[in-house]
Amino acid sequence: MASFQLLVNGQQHSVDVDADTPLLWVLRDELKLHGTKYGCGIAQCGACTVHIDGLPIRACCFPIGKLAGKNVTTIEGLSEVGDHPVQLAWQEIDVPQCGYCQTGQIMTAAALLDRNPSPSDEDISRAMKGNLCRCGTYPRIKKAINEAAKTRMS
Amino acid sequence: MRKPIISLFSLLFIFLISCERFTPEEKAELSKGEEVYITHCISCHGPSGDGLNGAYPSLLKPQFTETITDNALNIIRHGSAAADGMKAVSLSDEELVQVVNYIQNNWSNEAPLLSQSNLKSAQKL
Repeated sequence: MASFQLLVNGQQHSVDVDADTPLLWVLRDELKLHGTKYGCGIAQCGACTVHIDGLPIRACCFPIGKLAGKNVTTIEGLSEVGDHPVQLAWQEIDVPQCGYCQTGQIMTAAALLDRNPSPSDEDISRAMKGNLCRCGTYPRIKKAINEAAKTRMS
Repeated sequence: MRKPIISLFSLLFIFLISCERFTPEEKAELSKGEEVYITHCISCHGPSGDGLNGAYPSLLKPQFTETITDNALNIIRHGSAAADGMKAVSLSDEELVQVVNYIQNNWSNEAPLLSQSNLKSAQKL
């Protein structure tokens, strides 16, 4: 066990955990941020996606010991009141079915639009390929990302 | 006096352009490779390609031999033989070439660019 300082959603936290503890379990068990979901545990499904320095990273595999000096954003910190353009588009298009994978989908989509404000359908498919949805909401996800891109540009 | 100075700058500009390692088309392909890396690789190998705490290996190499490149192509396509090793990644041939070119020509890495014909010869091994 060791003490680690981490910056999550703009707030500094101190946690006592093993250095190889995945970020996902620090978020969920230590910081009680339950928006980030456990899916496969091997970085294959995307349900646990958070932003680390703005990049979409699977929290289930990222050890806390590698987080020094990095800025973590979870779904809770994407927007204070849930009005990020991607979140609004998700509501407008009514994207979720069961909803389990959606926080990961939204985090990946938000990071994509930060890197590429007007992605083509191919860009969206390429960026979202690592986020699985067993309900098959992919067409609505793509539509919502296009919608969010338009909102951000206007 | 002014004309020689302008000519000197023009020559310097042309020289710098000709020193660029990659053409605009190659840079566009490398950007696509970066997107594939962000989607499929970054969580384990890290934004700097240096791996995570020894559990996930560093992708930084002093040089890339043909064997290293062929191993990389095979591990991405088929997964590692180790029980707890890397899982296969579902990529098209185009994406596979793009991401390997990105990895082998990013950070401190440098290697000749692969094409899809290289991919076919690697598969024959």
